[in-house]
Amino acid sequence: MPIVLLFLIAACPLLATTISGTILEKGSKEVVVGATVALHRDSLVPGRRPLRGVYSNRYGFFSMGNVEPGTYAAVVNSVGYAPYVAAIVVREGGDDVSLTIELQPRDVRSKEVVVTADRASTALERQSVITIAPSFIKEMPAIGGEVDVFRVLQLLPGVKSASELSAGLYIRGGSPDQNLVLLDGVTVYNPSHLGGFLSSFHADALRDVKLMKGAFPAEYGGRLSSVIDITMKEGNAERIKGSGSVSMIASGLQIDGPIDSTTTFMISGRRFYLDVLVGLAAMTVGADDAIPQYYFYDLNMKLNKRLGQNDRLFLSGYFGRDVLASGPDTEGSFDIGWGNSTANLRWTHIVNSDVFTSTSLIYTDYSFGTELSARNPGSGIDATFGVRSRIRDLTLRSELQLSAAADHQIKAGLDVTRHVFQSSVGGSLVEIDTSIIRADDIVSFDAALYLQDEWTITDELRANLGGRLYWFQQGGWLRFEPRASMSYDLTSTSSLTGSFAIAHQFLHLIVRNDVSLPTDVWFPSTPNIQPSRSVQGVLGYQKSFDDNTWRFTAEAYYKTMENLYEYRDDAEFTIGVPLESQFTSGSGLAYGLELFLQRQIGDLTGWVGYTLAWTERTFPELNGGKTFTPRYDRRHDVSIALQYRIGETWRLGATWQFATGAAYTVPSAQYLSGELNWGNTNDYYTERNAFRIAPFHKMDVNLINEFTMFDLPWEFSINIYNVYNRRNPFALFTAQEYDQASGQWVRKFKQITLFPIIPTIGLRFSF
Amino acid sequence: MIKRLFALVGIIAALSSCEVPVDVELPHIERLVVDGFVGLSPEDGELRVLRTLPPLARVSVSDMTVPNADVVLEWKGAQGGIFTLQRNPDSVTFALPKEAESWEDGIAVLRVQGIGKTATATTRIPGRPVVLSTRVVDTVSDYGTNVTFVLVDVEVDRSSVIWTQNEFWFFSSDTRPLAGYRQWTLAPFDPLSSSSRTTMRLVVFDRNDYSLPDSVTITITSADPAFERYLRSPYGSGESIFGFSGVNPWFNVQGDGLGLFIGASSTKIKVGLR
Repeated sequence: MPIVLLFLIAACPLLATTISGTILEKGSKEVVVGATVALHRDSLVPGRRPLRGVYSNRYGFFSMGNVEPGTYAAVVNSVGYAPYVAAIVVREGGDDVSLTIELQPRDVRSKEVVVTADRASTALERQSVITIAPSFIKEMPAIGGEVDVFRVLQLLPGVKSASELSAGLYIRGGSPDQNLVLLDGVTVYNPSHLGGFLSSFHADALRDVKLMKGAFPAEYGGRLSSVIDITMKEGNAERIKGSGSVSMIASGLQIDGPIDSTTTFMISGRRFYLDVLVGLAAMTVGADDAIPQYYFYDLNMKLNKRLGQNDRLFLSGYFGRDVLASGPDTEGSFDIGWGNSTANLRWTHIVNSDVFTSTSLIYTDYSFGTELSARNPGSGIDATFGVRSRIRDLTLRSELQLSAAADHQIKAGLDVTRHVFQSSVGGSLVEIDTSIIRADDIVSFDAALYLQDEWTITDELRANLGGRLYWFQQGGWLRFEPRASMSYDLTSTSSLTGSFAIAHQFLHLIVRNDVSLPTDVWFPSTPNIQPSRSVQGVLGYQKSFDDNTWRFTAEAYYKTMENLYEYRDDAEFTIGVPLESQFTSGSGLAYGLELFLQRQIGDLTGWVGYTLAWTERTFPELNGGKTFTPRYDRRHDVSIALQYRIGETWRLGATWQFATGAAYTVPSAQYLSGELNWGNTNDYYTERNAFRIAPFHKMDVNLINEFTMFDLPWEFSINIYNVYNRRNPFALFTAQEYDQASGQWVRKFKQITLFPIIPTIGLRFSF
Repeated sequence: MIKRLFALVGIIAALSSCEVPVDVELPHIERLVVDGFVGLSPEDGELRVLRTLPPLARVSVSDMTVPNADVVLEWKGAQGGIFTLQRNPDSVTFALPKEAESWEDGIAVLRVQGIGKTATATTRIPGRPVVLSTRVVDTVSDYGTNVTFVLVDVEVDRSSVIWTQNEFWFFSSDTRPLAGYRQWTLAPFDPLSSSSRTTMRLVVFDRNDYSLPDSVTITITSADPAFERYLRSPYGSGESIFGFSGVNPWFNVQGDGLGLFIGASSTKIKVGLR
């Protein structure tokens, strides 16, 4: 693999002067990801386009090759930092210019943005991409006071949730398994806690959250729909710093700082303690034996070692686990657990001012298991049901970034992964039958090679062209994925954009589309299970107003998906039946329009988003072969997220969401079969998810007060979830109730509402 | 104090979810419900016409009847005959034509009209199953239930038999197909076998008074493959381990109706036990 990369380097001509460098945060010396570096000829002239522009990569590195001799002004901008201007002189035949730029953190009110694509310097990079600063996430309302990355992402157009309970992201008609979730470049297979209620990511440990909603560039792959690229903090280089938070449901602590002059660390942990609270409550009411036990924890850590001027070594890890088990004194029992462990050892090397390389050795371990059992009081025999799924990946990844010419930024990379899959579903559902399906371990290698070129064709026209070649050992699948995106600046404040991408997915999360119980199993492509495939196109328009105070984006997308998998309706788990024979395949279609208006500067910041969307699935073996909508299909979706600073010590955050009701299957009639008596009444159902339950809408607010105590800065927050106590439906069912007036049993339609108005408080401090 | 505060928070969290009755206009589209077997003996073949009720309605057979239903059965096109079926005194079933008992190997088309709806169904009545041999494997008497279990191997021409009844069917005092056809099971064929004959091992029940009868009668039935599709189709009322599923079984009644209309032919054989 290094040979391949060196070949790429050698294939490039030796170029003229290159301006390169690293962008750091002043004080902490943490790298600044996605900062824009704009190069202006001679001096800054208001309204004039920069001559060149690049942005820093995830390691803070940037490079502009083939710069002609002359005098320049380099302007560096990034979220939450004061602009930085440097004068640069490039001499005829002179050496390359290497810079270390330190950006000064700055109050967001005066200039900068909190949620924006602004760091991506061009409309091309902004297309379908939204970056959210963790500082913004931490100020948004949150249930129980526990801030969550994914729940903030759900407020963006094109991103939906399956239910109020779920932090899963359904992006542009794709299901959560179609999202590539990367934490420091490592795939996280199930990035959720509490059955999807909270994401796995502790906001205090994060440096950067980037969402790519579709048609992503060739450097990303392996998933159909979108990419969530999360970067952890590296650690303050100057002093030990930290923060802590206490909410009603969890507490967390984060510490980072220097170990020596070349080494920094960051460590953070979070523990969910509802089990403790419920246990105490149960003791009060005297029912502690019957109450399920649940808790989760997660731990993030990162070490950052500088090996001289051009080399750095990173070691990062994430460990999270959920445990849900029934109380000790229950007739039926369950034990559900899942967790992720990841580790990444990464070496970055600046070969020269034009070439940057990164090599990583990555380990991922995701496991999931459900055990359900019920005891027959008469026979005393247990009936059990169990699902187990585990994936262990070992990946070697090498990437290269090259400033090949003045107008070309080239990226190339190679991934080789060894997967080990274990999946089993089975149990004994009748007293005398013990049936277990256990698929043998499946070991498979995959490899991916990508190449992309960010090409400035003219001052107005830019393109990102690339391709990704995939090979998957199981089944011998070989797939090529062309990727292309373009932007054209109509004026200095408005642009047209367009993109096209083909993507494949070789790992499939097999779910029941109609339920949300934990029966999901990750399963690889095999000779019989073809890779999923998506073809998507996006057209967009971007416009900024009032000196970038406001930005408006409109994007229309169209995506087809093939070889999607679910359990068959009549899936049976009996001995000798291969698990993959219980799957059924189908296709999907998603299209829609997203409108996004955001205010980026001032005391009031935030956005209004609207999505008009359609999502469909067609499986020959489901719903009689007729096309149906997934449960998370929403025709209309409106979200408003605002933050307002009141004076020097108060901040107000508010969100409001509205979405068309979830698609649901309900009884549409009753009929008799067999003997003509009441006991043979059957429900006749609508087609799958053909009914819409009531619309979902709610408002959350969060009021934060800053104060000083024990010479430390503190924040006290009051959080109100569902301010106007909207009874949003979570699930519907029918039930028989005895009517006292008529003396008869009456059938009623019932709705489960999860969360009424919930006020909570939280406390946060930093040092 | 802190402990009480935590306890209070826990109770609030535990009780925060709730269920409430809701007034929702569920989408009831009224349909005819047609169930019938044609081609069997007069005591087994029958046809029933009902209608659906709204999902929350109180169920009563009288509310499900279809007054003035017109039921027409066509056999082998016009040349075979068109029969207008007469309603029985029970007001929900219709008498099949006497001729239907001898129908074999042909297409029957049913058309039902009532309450402004039209439902149709087409079925093929197969040839009668060919039983090649029988062999009693074992008998066991259960004195607690006054039942003798008889294990019989029945060798049949595998191309002629689609399904047979399971033990519950034989145990039932009511032998009409409409009484519980969902419980009928497919004959245990090996789909990979190329043999022209196959053996079904059946468990037969016989009521008796503590004595082994001289013989038992077994009914082997062939049916339109549509019946196999129905039996194999998944259906769920929402009480599976996966939660609410709400899947309808596959039916062959089309148009404004639901249900099954199946052509079937039976062979009864007497198996001696002594």
